[in-house]
Amino acid sequence: MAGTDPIHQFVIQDIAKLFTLGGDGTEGSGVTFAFTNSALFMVATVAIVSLYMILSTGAKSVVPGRAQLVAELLYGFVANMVRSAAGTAGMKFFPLVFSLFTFIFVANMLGMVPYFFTVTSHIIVTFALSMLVFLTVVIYGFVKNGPKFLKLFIPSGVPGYILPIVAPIEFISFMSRPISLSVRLFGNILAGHITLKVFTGFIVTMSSLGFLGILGSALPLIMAIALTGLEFLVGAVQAYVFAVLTCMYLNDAIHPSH
Amino acid sequence: MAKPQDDQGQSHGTREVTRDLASRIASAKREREIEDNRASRDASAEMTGLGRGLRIGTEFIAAILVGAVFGYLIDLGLGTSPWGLLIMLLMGFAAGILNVTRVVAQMNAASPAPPGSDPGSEEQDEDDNDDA
Repeated sequence: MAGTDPIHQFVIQDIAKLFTLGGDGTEGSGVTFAFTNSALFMVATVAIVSLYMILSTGAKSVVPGRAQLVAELLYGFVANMVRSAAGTAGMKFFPLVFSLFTFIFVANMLGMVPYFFTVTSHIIVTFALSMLVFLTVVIYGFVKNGPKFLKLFIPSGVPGYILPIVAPIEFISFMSRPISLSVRLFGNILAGHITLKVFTGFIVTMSSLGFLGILGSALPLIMAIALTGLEFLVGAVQAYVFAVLTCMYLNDAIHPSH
Repeated sequence: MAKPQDDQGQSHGTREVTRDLASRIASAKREREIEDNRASRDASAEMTGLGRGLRIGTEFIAAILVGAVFGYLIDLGLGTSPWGLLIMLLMGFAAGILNVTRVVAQMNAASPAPPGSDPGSEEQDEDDNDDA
């Protein structure tokens, strides 16, 4: 049943071993760094985004062609998102938000191609992305506002005697951001891909049951087609949600009092 | 005599033009705002019920997890087991509720109730007033 194993699609495979850190030289000791299928698709995602943006805007025509129009619409979409959530001061983070949005979006879309690996279905990848956002917020917040950044944990209008309770709660709420950000993206993509695989697996198992099974397998087929459409939507929406939340968290770093 | 009158007339006309321009700018701004609101509402409607549920769920669980991990680390560092874990778990629970109320408030702000809808509380309030 290897063909219908719903988890098999998430297995990391080494494509080329690079080098080993530590260990005593024997097989399996130390930490081996390898170029994996996950890394391959990350590189592919970055290459697709970069090549598309460079090639489509290379002509720099005043009246844009189709490819350039899509690139410009993408720019306008993310720029509007940043301006509405973080204000004009947030535009200095536009490259970060744009990179995150396009990376997650293209990675999700690549993951919808059969036999392709979905980068965002591994929590360490999404966690790394969300820690990037979180550390940017913390470091920039402290550099720009200094100790005033800590006002983030003190809501305005709260009397002093309940601050010892409110401030830790706000702190935990703040610290939970990278976790909820990464788990949301990872969970949506993982659950979607497993559901899709399970339903397509039903088609295979049912059609092996004879004539009635082949007739009945139309039902999971319809479901799988509907789920495929839904997965494209989820992939796009999750990229959008990740980018919007990034903007809102950056807004906290730029204007820390709320 | 004719010149000041002319000046006055001109300034009057200019003022009118300015006022006209101001009102046009205001109405354009209002339209833009309505458009923006509609855009954000569309975006939130695009988010499926599953997406909304997962959003709220992760916000809640993440805060509890972070609280529990903090409590565990405090216990490890200070040797106060199990009090750090217990207290920080409850703190994480509170932070989770805070996260959820923030997300829901933000979702409500993004999609206000449609104009024709009846919140149903006003009439009840009136009834209460009549009784009292």
